[in-house]
Amino acid sequence: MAIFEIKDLTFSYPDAQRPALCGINMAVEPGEFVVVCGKSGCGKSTLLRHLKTALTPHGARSGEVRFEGRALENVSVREQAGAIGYVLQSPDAQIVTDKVWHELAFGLENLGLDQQVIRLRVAEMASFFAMQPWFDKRVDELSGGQKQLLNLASVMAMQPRVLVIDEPTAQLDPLTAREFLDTIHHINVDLGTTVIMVEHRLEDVLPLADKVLVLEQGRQLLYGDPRTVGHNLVGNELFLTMPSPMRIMEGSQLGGDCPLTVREGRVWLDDRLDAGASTLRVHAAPDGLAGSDSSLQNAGDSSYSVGFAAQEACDGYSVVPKNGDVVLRCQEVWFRYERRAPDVLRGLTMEVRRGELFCLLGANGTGKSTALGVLAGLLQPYRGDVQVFGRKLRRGELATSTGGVGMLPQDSQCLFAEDTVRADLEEMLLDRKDMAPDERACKVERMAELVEITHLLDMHPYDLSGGEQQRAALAKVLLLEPKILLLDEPTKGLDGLYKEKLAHIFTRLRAQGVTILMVSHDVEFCAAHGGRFALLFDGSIVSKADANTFFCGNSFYTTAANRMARHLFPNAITVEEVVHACKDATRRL
Amino acid sequence: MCVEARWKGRIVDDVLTTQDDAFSSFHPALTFFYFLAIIGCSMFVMHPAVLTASLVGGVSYSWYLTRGASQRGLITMMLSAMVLPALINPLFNHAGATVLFRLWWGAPVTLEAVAFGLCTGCMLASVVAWFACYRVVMTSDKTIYLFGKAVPALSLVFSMTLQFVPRFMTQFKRVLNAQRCMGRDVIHGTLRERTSTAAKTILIMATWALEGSIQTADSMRSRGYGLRGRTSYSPYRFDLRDRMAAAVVLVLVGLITYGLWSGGLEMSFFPMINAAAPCASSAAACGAFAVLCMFPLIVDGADEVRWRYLRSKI
Repeated sequence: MAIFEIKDLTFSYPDAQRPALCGINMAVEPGEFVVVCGKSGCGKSTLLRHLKTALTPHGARSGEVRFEGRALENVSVREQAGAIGYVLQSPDAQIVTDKVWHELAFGLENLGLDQQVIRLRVAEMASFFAMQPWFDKRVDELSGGQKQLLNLASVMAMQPRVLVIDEPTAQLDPLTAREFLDTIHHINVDLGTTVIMVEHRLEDVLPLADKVLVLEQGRQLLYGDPRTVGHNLVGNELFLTMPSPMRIMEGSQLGGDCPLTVREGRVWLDDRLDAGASTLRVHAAPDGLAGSDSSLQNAGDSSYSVGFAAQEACDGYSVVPKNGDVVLRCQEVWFRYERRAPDVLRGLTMEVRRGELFCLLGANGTGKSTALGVLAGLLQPYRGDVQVFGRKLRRGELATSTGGVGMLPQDSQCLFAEDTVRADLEEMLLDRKDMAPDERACKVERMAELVEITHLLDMHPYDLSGGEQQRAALAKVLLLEPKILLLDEPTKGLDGLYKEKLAHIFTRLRAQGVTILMVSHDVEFCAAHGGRFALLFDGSIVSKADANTFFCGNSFYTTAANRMARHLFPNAITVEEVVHACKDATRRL
Repeated sequence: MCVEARWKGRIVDDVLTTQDDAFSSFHPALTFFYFLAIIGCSMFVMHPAVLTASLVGGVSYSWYLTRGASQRGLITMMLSAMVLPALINPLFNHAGATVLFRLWWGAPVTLEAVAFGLCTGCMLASVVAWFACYRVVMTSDKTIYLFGKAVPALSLVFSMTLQFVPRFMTQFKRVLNAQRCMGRDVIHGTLRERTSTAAKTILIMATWALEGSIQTADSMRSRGYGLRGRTSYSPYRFDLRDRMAAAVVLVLVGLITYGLWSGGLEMSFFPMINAAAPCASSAAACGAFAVLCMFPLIVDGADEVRWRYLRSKI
């Protein structure tokens, strides 16, 4: 019997133009790992909320949701509280109490279990999740990853039969996110708990999934196993969010079993190129035939190669301006947060040239955000200095107040103060006495166009999705007309499509002469779009180069595509480059 | 390397002191009763022996808890609590028979007033020291546990507040920094600009808090908050060790109470310093109080000795 069965579920929010969900049909068998994906605003969260009565939104609904054969409304709230575990997106806001142990016990207290049972369950969860070292801590001492793990553990303590998880890693860095997803996989495999999860890190999560549900504007586009879904998505823009090995396979049209992980990808690639070589050798195909074969292939992936052509046209800007003026420089900067604290930055030296996209990469706790804070003048180094446009930053002076430097913080919600995005953007121009009101409105419109949020201008900033908020915040900063843009983890929590949009915006900005410095964990994004890279480790820069030299030398800190194909094409970094290399190789065979 | 290790040690001290301290691991009811007895005695018994024991015990335990990390604030507070009454009392209190000298306007400074001031100072300083220990040992969850039994809902609200406040402050700092980067500053600029920025920041924080509270409410409802028959869990158990320690503490408090009841600890300063004649009961009470004051350190010391002994066996 299916643990969840959804039949013809259609739902619209009050006063909405079109339904948020339309004709959803799916069955989830016990023990399955189901991933729900789609563009933001496609109804993923709305669907998930229908899986628990306590969270179901108000609105017009038809169709039904059955839990273990019973209509969900007929399952008591008490049973649902225990049997259906629900983990939400924000690590912070869903924590209720102030102590780790209390949070673990919270749900069990609500169920009215007695001391002994709670003690056992809490102990069990703390051991399962290896929470012993921080079991007695206050929750505000935990890192984001630990908080999300706590949320998961406190739901698991109630021994749910199904775990419903809504973008749990949106606010975590890639490494922590990965660990978190591994834990969920562990739960799924070791405890047999059914998992239904919305997640945009498909590269990490798709290999774990049994089934994938793709939604598009509230409609069910595809539902099936990851490989089939991936194959059927070719041509759809959502295909950009699929794992690199799958994209390489579909892009190169080499056939064979669809690889999901880097390991499978390597095997597949060796196998395909070998197979290609041996067939050619055996049949000794005449040139003409081989030519017609490849032309057939080209016809097959026409839509896709058009996409690449567009990509290449955009990448024209990614040429590094070798001799551009240095606009931002920091010279042997040392920084610590307190007198007795350890150094966070130890002699950080770097320079950023006009018009480039400079990516500062590094793992957690290497001082990336601190470096950005120092460059922005928010933090004062105790040794060394920061120069903006060749002028030394005075003590306590913000780089942003000298004009020409804009900074986008990691949490873009910090910036919104008005009721609509439009008001929020116009507010930035109120100080500009030289501008007439309609001139301001016009400027706001143009900015909205640049970052592609025109259709969102009249919404409340908090109603936007993460990616939309990010772009609205970017628009706000851009209205200050900065020449240098400092970005703190701009791709955090964004899915593949939003990242593409962001990359387009960056390209346009750089075409206008804006210099961008971004601090990021996101190797894939930086590799595809960055100009120059620096790797921060232990408070200083250990490696600094352009994309090819930077990533080719690294064996771990590089893109999935490169890890998959480096033994054959060491210089191919992005999916597109590997696809090209594959095509070249097959043509040569 | 050395600096880093020391820093890490300090963080551990600040945050996790209770883990290294055996006394903190007693049941909250016992620790609470202990602090009640100590602080009560220190406040209401003006006997020099009692005050000295309390001051020595309080200062050494608080030093032990913080492992000698810089406690400038606490030391300043204790010193001023000690010195100010000792200086000020003789200036305004002229009662007492033994005149030491006269001030330049003729007011007498008496031995009794000086002694009383000193004792008051000791009393205040020791209470400050003991409250510093209390703050470290009686963490919020222990307090919630003790008083939450009476009003469970209140204890949850208390716990939620304690969770919310640090989160709010972190976000507040983030928003202020973000606004500063946008050229909106609450420190610089004209009064009007600053007021408008401040108002905006508050608005942002309010929106943020409301938004967050919706998620918190979802998370609570989803985990069955509001169901009938909610229980309240605590990780504390009153085990044999607690019972033994409670017995010791009760015997000591009993001895002190007997000493108080029999008048062995009576002390009057005016008109003449007059202490009760030392007798068995007063000696026992003073001794018991001294032991009580050193009790946490004795417990920790015993643990330490046991550790060394066990290790020597390996």
